[in-house]
Amino acid sequence: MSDAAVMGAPLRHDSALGHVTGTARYVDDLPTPPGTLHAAVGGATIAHGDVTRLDLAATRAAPGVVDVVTADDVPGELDIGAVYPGDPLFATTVEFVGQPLFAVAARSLTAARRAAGLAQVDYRETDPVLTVAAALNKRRFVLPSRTWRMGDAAQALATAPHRLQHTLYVRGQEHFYLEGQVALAIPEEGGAMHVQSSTQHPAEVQALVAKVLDTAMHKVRVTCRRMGGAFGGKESQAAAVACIAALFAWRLGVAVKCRLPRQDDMTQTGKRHDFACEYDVGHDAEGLLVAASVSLAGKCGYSPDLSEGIVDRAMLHAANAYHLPHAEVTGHRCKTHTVSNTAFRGFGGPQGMLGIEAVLDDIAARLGMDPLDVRKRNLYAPGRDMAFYGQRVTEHVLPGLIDELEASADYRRRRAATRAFNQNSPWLKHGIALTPVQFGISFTTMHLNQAGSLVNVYLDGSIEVNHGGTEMGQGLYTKVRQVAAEAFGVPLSAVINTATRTDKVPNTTPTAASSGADLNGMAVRQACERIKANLATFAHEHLNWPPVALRFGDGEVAAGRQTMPFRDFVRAAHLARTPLSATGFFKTPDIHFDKGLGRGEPFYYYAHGAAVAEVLVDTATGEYRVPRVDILHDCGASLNPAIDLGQIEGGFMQGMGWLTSEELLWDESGRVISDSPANYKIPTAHDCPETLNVAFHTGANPRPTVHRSKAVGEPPLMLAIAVWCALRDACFAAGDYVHLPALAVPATPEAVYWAAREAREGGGRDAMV
Amino acid sequence: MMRLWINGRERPVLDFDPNVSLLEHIRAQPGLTGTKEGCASGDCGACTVIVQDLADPAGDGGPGPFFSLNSCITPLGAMADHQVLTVEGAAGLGRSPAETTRNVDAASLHPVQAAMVAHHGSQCGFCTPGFVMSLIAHQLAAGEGLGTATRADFVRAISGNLCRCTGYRSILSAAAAAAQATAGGYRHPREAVPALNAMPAHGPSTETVGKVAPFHRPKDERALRQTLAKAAGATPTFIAGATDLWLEVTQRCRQLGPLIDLGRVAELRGATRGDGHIRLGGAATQATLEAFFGAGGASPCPAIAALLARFGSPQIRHRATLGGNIANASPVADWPPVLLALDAELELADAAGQLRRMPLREFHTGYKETQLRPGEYIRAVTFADDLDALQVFKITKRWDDDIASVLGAFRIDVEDGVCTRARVAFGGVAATPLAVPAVEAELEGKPVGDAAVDAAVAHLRDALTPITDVRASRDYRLDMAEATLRKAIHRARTGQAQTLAGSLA
Repeated sequence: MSDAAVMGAPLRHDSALGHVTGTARYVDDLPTPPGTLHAAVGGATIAHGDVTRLDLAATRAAPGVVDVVTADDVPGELDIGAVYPGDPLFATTVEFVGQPLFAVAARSLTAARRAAGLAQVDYRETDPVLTVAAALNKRRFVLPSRTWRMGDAAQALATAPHRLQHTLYVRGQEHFYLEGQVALAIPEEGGAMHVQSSTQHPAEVQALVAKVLDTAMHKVRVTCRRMGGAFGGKESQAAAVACIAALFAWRLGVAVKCRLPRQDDMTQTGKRHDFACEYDVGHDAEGLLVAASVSLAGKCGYSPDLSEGIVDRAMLHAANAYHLPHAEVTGHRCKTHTVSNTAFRGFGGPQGMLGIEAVLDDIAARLGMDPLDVRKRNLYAPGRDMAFYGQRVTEHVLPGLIDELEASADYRRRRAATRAFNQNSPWLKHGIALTPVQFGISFTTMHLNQAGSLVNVYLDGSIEVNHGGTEMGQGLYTKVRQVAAEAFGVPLSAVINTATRTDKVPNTTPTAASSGADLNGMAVRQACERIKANLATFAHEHLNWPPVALRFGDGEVAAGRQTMPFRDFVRAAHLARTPLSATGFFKTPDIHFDKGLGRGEPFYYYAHGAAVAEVLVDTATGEYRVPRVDILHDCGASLNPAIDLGQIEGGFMQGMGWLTSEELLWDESGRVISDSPANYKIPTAHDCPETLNVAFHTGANPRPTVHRSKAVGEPPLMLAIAVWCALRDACFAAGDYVHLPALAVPATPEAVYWAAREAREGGGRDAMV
Repeated sequence: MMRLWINGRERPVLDFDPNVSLLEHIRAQPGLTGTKEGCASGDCGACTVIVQDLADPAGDGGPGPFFSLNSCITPLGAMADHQVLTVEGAAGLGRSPAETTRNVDAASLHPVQAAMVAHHGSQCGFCTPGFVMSLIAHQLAAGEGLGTATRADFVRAISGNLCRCTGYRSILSAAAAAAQATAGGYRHPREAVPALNAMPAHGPSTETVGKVAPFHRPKDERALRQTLAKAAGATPTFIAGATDLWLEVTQRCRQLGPLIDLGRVAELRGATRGDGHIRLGGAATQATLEAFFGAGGASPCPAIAALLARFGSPQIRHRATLGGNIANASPVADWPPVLLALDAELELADAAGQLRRMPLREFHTGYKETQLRPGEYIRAVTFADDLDALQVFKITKRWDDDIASVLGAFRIDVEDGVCTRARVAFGGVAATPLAVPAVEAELEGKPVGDAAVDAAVAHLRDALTPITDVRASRDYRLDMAEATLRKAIHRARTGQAQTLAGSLA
């Protein structure tokens, strides 16, 4: 297979055959050693207070129970906070309903769960802080607030020709990875521990297991072949079940599996942050933004977890694709007595973006303009290219991309048709919107932008690649195999990507921030190049091949007129004592960022896209359909268009779920009441737009990324903002385009009903917060 | 011993535990971990398998049809004398663990599996086995009509399967391609599944599985009465589809005692039409009723057919029964408001064979409370064969596979501008399913002008006591009750449906 046939080809997922036959194994499917025990976690039933009595006698005496552990039984560090401390493996002071207090190991999962239910716990309750509003009011934060400034926003707002305020409460999102959190810990000789973990961050699980067990990291090996979905929910949140399994395995000397039942998973693990957003914006008569003062308050839950970076990223995306000459952006990290919210595809970016899109619709409504014209007018452009955090936007993809989509989706004609239809339809209303996405690529925490790899060429010409990236369905292993196959000029089938393991490639960073292929693809390519350099030396010194660069292709190695099958070549190289294994390393160049000042170039580049969504709403009930969506997305030069298409479609639908049917709700005592798929509704096939046109925006990444591709994991999620804006447009129509109503997030049928009613009655209704 | 066939091979159950699900049992077999647990509550479909009752009482004791179900909430005991097809078996694998650790031969794939690969229908792959099985089940059910299946058919076929990665477009493309491949390559979709073609030998239906906590499986009412008579003193728990009850086991770790499965009692499973009446068996599954009320069924009724298309999921409809939906006494169940609007009567029976009849309007006495006495079961539901005016509106957060926030069911007839009959019932607006006689009385016999409608609506709001919960707010429920009533009256007056999506009729 020639290079061109591998790179950029729509190749099937690495595990597709295993997926469709059920033979691809997940942690819970692995054969377990005889005598493997099963762990269940006992959670708190109050939101805030001290445990005054934890009576586990009945739990210990229950059938099948082998061991019970509490905070007192942790030999090493109790705290498993990912970045900052604050996450005890087992709590003694309770900070959210469901917080783990103890764990049970028993001969079956059912026996362990039944026993956990027998615990007697007394508490001394303390008033919990349960909402963003209460936390802001009491100044309760998990980390200090930050304000970043460009120009003089206050002055510019005071003198702006027009000014408006918009507040928006954006609800969070449950990951609902189909495979719940799970780990299998197998004790080995000499105090070593092997943990099979469903995690995006094996190295962190390794570090935390070592800390909890008070042992050295080299004694702990963490393996992850694949996850059944993750979406950020297994970046920091996979550690607790792994530590619990390892703790029992260390105490008992037998293998222990810890797998959270769905309801425990939905109660005990973090989700996407709610955000309370406030925008104060100045604009001119043509809809051009002159200044904005923005406050973004994230509901972090009880601990910092990854909230520093998440709120930073919300702030960095508070202007989305639009130039703000004067800006003041404040981020608050609110402490609430709820589960600690965590990474979720977009990492705060989606919440940051949504508000400015709502504001631009407000401006268009006030000025009687098509919102698309307001959006186009405000895009970054040469001369209006400095982001408020000090990064100059140099790649102006969106103006052309939007023009292309506007034409291909026939936006103007369809918008006019929408207005004509609505005029004669008292209850059914069409809405339409086009919204762009400009998403910054790189971890904003600089040291995470590194990756390592290991490439082994075997004597039969087969190749193993390994790297720190994890496979969660996004096709990373497939893309990395493509990189290695191209490098050695061999068929894809000659390369396998083995399970991610902390003893093959150490000290890796999480597979997150859409960076998997960018970082690990480059690290693997570098390892391949090192082996090829060894092979070149061999060819010149031992084969007397001409001193020109070796050519690898079609399963052969060549130089000048010399050629040899790859397999024969590597065998000969081995006989000449040539290293056929190499490590690789990559760090993203040119990025820097001062988080305190909000100044620097945090992003290596931006990924772009835009979507047109059309909706049809029954304003008498709020029910709606999304019959058509058109997407144009920028993947640079796609490494694998089949996989990238899947990321775009899947990301869009996941974003649409967040903004429409997925409603995270808590009761007054702080208990999450959307705690099962029976009452938390992610999209089904019926919700997929019947017409879903997805196209790639052509153009290579100006940055020298692998194959000049662009990251594609997170950015498409935010294309779904078009659906939310279209629903609001349909509600606007319910009042004949006089009053653009507030629309809650998510825009459930109920929320759409209230918005349409507000538009019709021209008044407001208190948003449910 | 319980007899069970998996992927064409007999695998008898030696240590029967009545509280084990089919899923747990399958996954405990070496090499059969392809069937996944995503939720253990019948909501995600990752555990979907295809089964066939080899001694189906409704099929003259012979093999019944193939159908899909959620193995996570199917009691293992209900699967005695059944054969089960898992995702491994669909590819001819799964007879030995070795088969599932070798490289998969792409040539052995079922057309659905091959199409899922070709159309990139899997990403993380965890939900994939469930989608594969739902699509194969759809192919088997479609039979020779598979070649004309539409996108809407495929959407319906996978409405009980959640995928968090793909966004479904690729899966729907795979479904369409697979339907063409199967329809073009085989005389009947069944031929595409070799594991199902070798019909296992079977004996008579097993009456009771297990000894300590027995699982009784009476095949007719006579056997049922005998079982009940023997159990005198200890009140056994009735189960039918167990699609709700089994959550007590999987979610709350309850240990259920002796169980009596009503699901196989032949006399309770049918649906008949005649003499101006319709009679639905208490253990008739939603799938049976879907066929009965569907186009081409014995009693076509678009309003009911459209509702049933959104009742749970195909997997749930294959197991869930009419009697269970009523006796469970949930205020948000789909059937009770419809049956209230139809003035349905219940036929109740007990161990002695004693029958009593009761209007449904008297049956539900409070939240999760009914008039059923211990040992008594719902034998049948009857109502007049007069469905033309029925209108049903189900308001949900998500269109498919969701529980109603409000369900409105109405029978309103208007002749010459005068309302000649009004039946008005709701789910989700009180502690029980609720008929609203005050509104019915306000409407009946009067001209249906705007003033009459407004007066009826005023009565309506007084009669309802909805709550705010995870599905909807109290205010929204009140407004939806009013909105659906207004829509129903509008249609009765004008003949025109005033809806996008809300009307099922």
